[in-house]
Amino acid sequence: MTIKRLCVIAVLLSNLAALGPSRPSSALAADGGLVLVVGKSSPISNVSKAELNRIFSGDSVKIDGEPVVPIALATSRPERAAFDQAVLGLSPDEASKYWIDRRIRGQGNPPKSAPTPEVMAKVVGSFPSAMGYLPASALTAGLKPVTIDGKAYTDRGYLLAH
Amino acid sequence: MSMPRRPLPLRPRRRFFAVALAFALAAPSIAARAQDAPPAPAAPELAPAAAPAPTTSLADAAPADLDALGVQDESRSAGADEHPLQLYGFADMTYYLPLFSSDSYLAANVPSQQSFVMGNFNLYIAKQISSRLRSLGEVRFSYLPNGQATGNGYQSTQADDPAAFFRPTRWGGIVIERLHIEYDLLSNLTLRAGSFLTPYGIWNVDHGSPTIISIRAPYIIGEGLFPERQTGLELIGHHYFSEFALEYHLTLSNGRGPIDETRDLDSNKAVGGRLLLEWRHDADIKLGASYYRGTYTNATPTTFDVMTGHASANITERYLEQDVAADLSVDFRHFVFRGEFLRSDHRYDDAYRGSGPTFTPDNTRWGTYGIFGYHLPAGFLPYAVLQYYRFPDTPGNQYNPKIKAIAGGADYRLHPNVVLKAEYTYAKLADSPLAIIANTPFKAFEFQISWVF
Repeated sequence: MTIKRLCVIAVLLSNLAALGPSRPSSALAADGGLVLVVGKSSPISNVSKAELNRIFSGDSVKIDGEPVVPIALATSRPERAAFDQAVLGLSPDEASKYWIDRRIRGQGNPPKSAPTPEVMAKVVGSFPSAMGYLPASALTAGLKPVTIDGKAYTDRGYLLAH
Repeated sequence: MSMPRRPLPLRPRRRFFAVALAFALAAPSIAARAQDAPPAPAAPELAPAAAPAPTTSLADAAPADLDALGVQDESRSAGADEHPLQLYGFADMTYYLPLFSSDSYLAANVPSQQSFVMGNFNLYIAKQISSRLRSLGEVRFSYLPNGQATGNGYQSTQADDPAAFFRPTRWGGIVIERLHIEYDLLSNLTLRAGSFLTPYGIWNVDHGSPTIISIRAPYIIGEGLFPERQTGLELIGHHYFSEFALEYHLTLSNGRGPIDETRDLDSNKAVGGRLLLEWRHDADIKLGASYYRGTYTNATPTTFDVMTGHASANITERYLEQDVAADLSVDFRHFVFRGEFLRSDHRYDDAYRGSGPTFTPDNTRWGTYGIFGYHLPAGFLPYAVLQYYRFPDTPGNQYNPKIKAIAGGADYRLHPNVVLKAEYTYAKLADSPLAIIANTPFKAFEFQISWVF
């Protein structure tokens, strides 16, 4: 009887799993993936994946002695979901929970966010300490792409590619 | 000596009803989840730097658009409010279903009535004062002291309400959980001043019911082996080494005392600290160690004798407290582990061993717990809790030397801001010399909803 109940629960859970949150949109693939950027005047040219994770997970990080201020895209953007998955390893729901938990612990807020890649480009281009990301198609002259673990966004294996 | 009656197990129909109810509660949210994007965490969205779309009138223009055009709102400059005050918080309600006999000794120590229990209602008041200065306050609204058991009843705070034609109403209290200001001395070094949660272990930091995994706090946390909060200064620093991070806390405070928020009755400051090593790669592993040392002193208020020309206060209790703790937190793929070990030593001043009917001997308390969980799809997190606590060897604890407890349950994230929990606890006062205590385990089901707002 108990085994039968466990089977029923397992079937229910597997059905629920099918209704779970979907992974980030694959629409990014057609756009050439995301590019990590800083302003043209920023001295930063490379970050490690570990540094990137810390910068966008709320830790206060300096690179080459310079503090880095992360700018994220709005949570409604598919690029945000793709970035959080690639860098933080978090789905949209998990990312929401992550930031809620940090606030309850008194550990601070998520990064400021830009509503569109165009705003992101203008903000990051205007502030040397800012670091953000956007689709490769939204790169502007005021931005400098940043390599991740030595890989450029045009390289195979770039963390934010697709 | 009769054995206590065994509680009746849940009937199969009730079980079926419980599963069906859980599914009915879960299904709409899952459907909604599939349609809705998760809510935006409360991060300020940057105003578009480009010129905004023209609006029909100035009154219709959004403040962000006005900012982008360079229009300044002078009302905001009063108090230089670049960063608005943030208000947020959490709350919870629990349904408690005891499964032990209301005729047992347990009923005299823990509630034996099934009840809906209003738990936490905590409000955070946060403010980024400047780029280097932050303030954080957290208050808990409580129904207490109403309902506090007294010798022959329950304390009532009922009063006549003048706003309602003097109809009866009951008032409650406020607990200041923490209130501090922080200043970034360096980008990786922060000084905190005020009343802060003692930096030890996992539970005291995670703190909020939507954030912690289980419903019931481990026994050692409730016992307060470390002071829950302190009043004084805290230095917080961190260093990063690739995938490793080292975080440290140093505290200087009034220490534990009967009125330590406002007065240190022995003028003897307590010191403490915490080291936390984190490795973040495929897994997120945190290993922490904490320490606290301080003198507890209780005394009568100071009086002045005009005849002798001297002021004096009588010390009623004094002991040196040393606490150590270690904790481990692991998140590896879907697996979750949280564990803590705590130990507290009290060494009394022989002249001040308490004012009770018996003198309090030096004593040591220690305990540990571990929570194992596994993230299933769709927001389910089943978990199990194992815990052990060794009471201090004091006269009042001769019949309850230790607690062994297990609990099992599941969290369900109905929404990123809302958590449903169900938990069954089985606890035993093991090795008690009295059979009626040793053979009467505490058993209870609890269901909780907690939410962030």
